[in-house]
Amino acid sequence: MAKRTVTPMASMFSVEEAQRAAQKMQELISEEEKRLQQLKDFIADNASLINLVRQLPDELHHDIMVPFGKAAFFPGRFIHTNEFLVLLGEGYHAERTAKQTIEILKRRGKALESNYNALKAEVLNHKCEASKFDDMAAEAAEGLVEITEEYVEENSAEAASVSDTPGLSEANNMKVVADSDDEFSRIMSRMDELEREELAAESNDECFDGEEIGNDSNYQHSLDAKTLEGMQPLQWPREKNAITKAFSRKHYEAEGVTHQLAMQLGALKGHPPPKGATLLGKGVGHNAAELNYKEKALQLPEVKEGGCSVPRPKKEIGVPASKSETGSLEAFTGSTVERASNVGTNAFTASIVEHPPNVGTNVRERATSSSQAFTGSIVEHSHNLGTDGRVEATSSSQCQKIPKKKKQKN
Amino acid sequence: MDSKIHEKVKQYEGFIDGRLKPDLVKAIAERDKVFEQQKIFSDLRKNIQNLEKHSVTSLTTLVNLGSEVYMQAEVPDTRTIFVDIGLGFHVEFTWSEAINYIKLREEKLARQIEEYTQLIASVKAHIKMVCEGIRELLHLQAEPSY
Repeated sequence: MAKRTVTPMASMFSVEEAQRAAQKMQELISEEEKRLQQLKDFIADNASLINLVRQLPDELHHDIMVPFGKAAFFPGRFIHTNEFLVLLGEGYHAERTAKQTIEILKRRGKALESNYNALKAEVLNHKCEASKFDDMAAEAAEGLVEITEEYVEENSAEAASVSDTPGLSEANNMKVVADSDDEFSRIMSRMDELEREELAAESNDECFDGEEIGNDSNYQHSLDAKTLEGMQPLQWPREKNAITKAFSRKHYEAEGVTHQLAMQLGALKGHPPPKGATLLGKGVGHNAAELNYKEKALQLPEVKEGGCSVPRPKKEIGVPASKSETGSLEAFTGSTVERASNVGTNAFTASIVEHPPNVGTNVRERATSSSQAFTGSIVEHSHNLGTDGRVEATSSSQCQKIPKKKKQKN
Repeated sequence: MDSKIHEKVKQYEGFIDGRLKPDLVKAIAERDKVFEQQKIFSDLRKNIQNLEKHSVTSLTTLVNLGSEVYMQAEVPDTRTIFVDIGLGFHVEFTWSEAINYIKLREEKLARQIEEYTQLIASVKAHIKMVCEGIRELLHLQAEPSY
């Protein structure tokens, strides 16, 4: 059973600290509000000045009291009522007409407004933080507890950990990753069984280089180096001539599509799909290859010739991968290219799918007619499968011609 | 025994920081304001004397409308000037009357400044006394006052 740990909230953040933080925020807020008020005043002054400047040119002269220092006035008049001297800053003045002065002032007003709005947003931000601190302090004060429960993995791969606080989300993520790893190894073992069965039933002529490409980033997080080792037994020991077959692979989300593939694989083989419902491309591909071969023996030579062509660049894979798959077998004529940099880390980078265009078209036609899950050309190509004396030798012999394959370790 | 001394010391320090020092700050601020006023009137007097010397009858000035936007203004007759005598009143003076008034005003301001200076000095003396008391309590060397 999952074990629970109860931690009082107060132990995570002390009450006084939270209160002090809240208080600091309040002080900051009050300062900013003062500044905000000041800006508001400036904007108001600017507006009234614009009004004044607009009205002054209406008369030739205005009778006024002219200030003389701070404590004395002279009676006098405004003259040149359309000429204004505006301070531009840094000791520079500009003599402008009323209209031009108004424009200057308007621009100033805009700048002030934007300052004001920015400051307002900041104040709002700080207010949110302050309220957050207040809540924290209140929670800690009233003795709220955080209950943590370990995530127990279920076969359905949907078990969720019970947690009462948001602080557990990180633990959750870790759990999910760990679970999918476990699930993965389960699937792998199931695949092993299936493959062995197939091997027994297969004819000798078939040479199959299986692979998966883990290029799909959806796989990445659930795969790691250790599972790559687990993968090794899945490789086809058979190696005659590396036959590249065109596979079309559907775009898959980690669970959904592979589940579907698993279903199809099961249907093809007459077995129920493996539990856990994630099927690696490898097993399915293998199955497809088997059927493919049996059905289209004539095509094989073609395929072979086309075999060692340049693997598709990665981005082509990305494009088909992004197509949504439903039942279309053409969604992805699968050239999945092993990413050079990922070979070491990616569990499935073992294989490189080459997809010469001519082969592709042929395969495509066949793909529509076949009921297979995949039609694809798969060239196994993994150096981390290294020690197995299986496909590598053949694949290497075949694939050495391929210019871009860097991962070969043969 | 020690704790009592510490308590007293704390008390004295608190008194200094809480009472005497703010008093000092306030007194200094008030005195500065009076200084400013004094300067304003002294400048005004100098200006009027200048006008008299050069017999300036009219002049043009730039008037600040706010936010450093200036407008030209003309003073056709500078013989009369309105001087602020306080409480919101301005009195029309001729030059000589104005100069007279300003002189009297300046004297009054000087007396005010003198009062503030004395207040500041007394506050400073209080602070010094309390510091000495603290020092005695802590048996430190008394500062040489000669």
